[in-house]
Amino acid sequence: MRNDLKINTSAGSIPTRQSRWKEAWKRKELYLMLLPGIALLLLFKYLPMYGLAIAFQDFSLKKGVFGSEWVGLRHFIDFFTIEGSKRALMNTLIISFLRLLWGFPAPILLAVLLNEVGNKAYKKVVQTVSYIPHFISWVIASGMMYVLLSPSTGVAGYLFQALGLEPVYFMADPKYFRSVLVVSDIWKGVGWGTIVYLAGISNINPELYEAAVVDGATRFQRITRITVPSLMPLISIVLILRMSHIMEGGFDQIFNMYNSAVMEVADIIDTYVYRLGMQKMQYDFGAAVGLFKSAVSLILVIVVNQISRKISNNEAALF
Amino acid sequence: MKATVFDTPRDKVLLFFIYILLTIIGIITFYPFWDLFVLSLSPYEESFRIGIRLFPANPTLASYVRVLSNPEIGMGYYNTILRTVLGTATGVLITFLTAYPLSKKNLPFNGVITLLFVFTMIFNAGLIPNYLNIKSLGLLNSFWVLVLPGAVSPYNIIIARNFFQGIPESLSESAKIDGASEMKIWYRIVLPLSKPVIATIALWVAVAHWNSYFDVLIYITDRSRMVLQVILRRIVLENQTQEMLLEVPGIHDKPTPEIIKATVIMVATIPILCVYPFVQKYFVKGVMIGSVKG
Repeated sequence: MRNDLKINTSAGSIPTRQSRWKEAWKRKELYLMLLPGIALLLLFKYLPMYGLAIAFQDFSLKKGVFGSEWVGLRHFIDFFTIEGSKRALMNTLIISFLRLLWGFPAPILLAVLLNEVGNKAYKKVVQTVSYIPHFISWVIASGMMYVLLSPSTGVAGYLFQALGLEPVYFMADPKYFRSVLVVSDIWKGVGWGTIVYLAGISNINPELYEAAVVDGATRFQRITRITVPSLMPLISIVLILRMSHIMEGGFDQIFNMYNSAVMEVADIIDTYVYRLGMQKMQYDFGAAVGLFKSAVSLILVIVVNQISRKISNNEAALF
Repeated sequence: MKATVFDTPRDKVLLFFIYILLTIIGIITFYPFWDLFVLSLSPYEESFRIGIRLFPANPTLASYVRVLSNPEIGMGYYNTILRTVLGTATGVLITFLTAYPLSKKNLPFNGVITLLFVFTMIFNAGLIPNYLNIKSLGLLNSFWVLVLPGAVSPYNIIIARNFFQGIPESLSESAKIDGASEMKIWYRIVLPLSKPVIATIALWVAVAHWNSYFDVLIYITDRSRMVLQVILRRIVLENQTQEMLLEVPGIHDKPTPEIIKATVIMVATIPILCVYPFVQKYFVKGVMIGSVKG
C-alpha cells in the first residue's frame, strides 16, 4: 500500500531562471513553512549519509570519519566471504521469498471471501477483528507467540498432545521457525492487507455481476470470471512493488522472535547488522553490509518503478 | 445488490463454506488475545492446566495488582504516554506544515524539494550511520531523540499534500484577495477542511509511537527513560521476570512467569483494544485517501 502513491515531482513550467527566483521571493512565506521540515530532514536523514564513508574505512571512533584510514572495498569483499554474512544474505532472500509465496495471496483470498458476504454486520465484525493484530507491536505479538507455542503450557502443546503427536518447540526448532515467521506474519497483516483489495473490488462495475447472473453464472463462476480478473491489474502492481522489498526479511518481527537456537535459519541482514554494530562495535563492517542492502534495494525500487509505470500507463509509479 | 441475487443450491453451499471459513479465520485471529487474557486472570494452579483456554476458572486480579504496583511499569507507561503525545503533536504539525507549500504545484523548486523528501523513502543511511549521527549530535539519552527524527515522514507528507491538492483553489484565492497571509489561509481555511486526514495521520503516528521500542533500545541507556515496550521486551522476551516474582507486601499469591508475562502483555494491549473500535474507521479512511488519490 505504501507504494501505490503517485508522487508528481514536476513543477509547473516557469520560463526563465530569473523570474523563477523572483516568483520564489514573492512567496517566501511558503518556504518559511517548509523550513522546520527540511531542517529535520537534513539533520536526521541526510546528515547521517556522510557516515556511509566508514563502510570504506578502517574506522575507529577515536579518529572519527575524517581521521580513519581508507581501506577501499575490503569490507564488501569480506561480506561475500565471511560465513555469517553469506548466511544472513541467504536467509534474507529465503524468508522474503516465503513471505511473498504465502503472505502475498492471503489478503487477496480473504478480500474475495469477504466480498461474498451479504450480511453487513457479520462482514463488519470479521473485518474489525482481522485488523486488530496490525495495531500491536511485534514485541507483544512475539510474546504472544512464545506463550501460545510453548510445548508445555501453550495451546500448541495441547493440540499436538490431543492429536497424539510429539510436542514441538516451534520457537526454538530450526525446522519450523521459518514457518512460524510466515504464519505469524500473515496472522498480523492479512486483515489490514485486504483494505486495498476491497477498495479495488468496490470499483468493479456492478453491471458485470448483474449480466453474469442473467446469464446463469454461479457464485463461484462470478468469483473466478469477474472478481479475480478485474483485480488482476491491481494485484500485479502490488506484486511488482513488493518485489522491491526483497531485501527486507522483516526486522521488527525477527528481532523480537529469534533466539540462539534458530540463528542459522533466522538471522537476516538487518539483525546481522544490528549485532555487528550495537553489540560487537564493528561499525565499519556493519555499515558496509547495511550499505550493500540499501544500494540493492534502491536499484530494485528504481527498476520496479519503471516496470510498474509501463504496465499501468503512469498510473502507479512512485516517481 | 448481492441480496437481490438469486442463489442456486450450489451457491448456497459455497456461501455456507465461506461463512464457516471466515468465522474460523476470525476466531483464529482473536484467540491469541483471549488466551493471554484468560491466562492473565488465572490463579497459580490453573496456569499449569494446558488446553484451549475458554474462560478463567477462579479468576483473580492478583497478578494485575502485582504488575501494576511495579514502579517500572508505571514509569514505562508515563514515558510511553509522554512520547506518544509529544511525538504525535510534533509529527502532525511538521507533516501538515510541510505538505501545504508542497501542494502548490506552481511553487518554484517544488519538484526538487519534493524529490528531497521522497528520496529518503527509498534510500536510508542505515542503522550504524544513523546511530553515529545521533551520537555526534549529542542526542544519546535525550528525550528529543524519540520525537524529532521520526517527526518527518515523507509518506504522510505526500498523503497530506495529495489531500490539500483536492481542496478547491477558489477558497484560498478569495481569502488572498482579502489580504490574508499564507499562514492564515493554512490554519483558518485549509486545516479545518482537512480534519479527517489529520485524524488519520495523527492516529497512525500515535500508534507508531505507542509501539516503538527500537529507538529507545539503541539511543537510550538511562533506565528512567524506558518506555513500556522496552520493559515489556525485557520481561516477556528476555525472561527477566524475577523482580516481578518477588514478594509484594499485601499480595498473597504464587505467580508463575507465564502469568506475569500474560498480564504484562495485557496491560500494554488492553488500552489499544479499548480505543480501537472507536477510531477504526479513521485508520481505514487514511489508507483509502492514500491509494485512491494515487
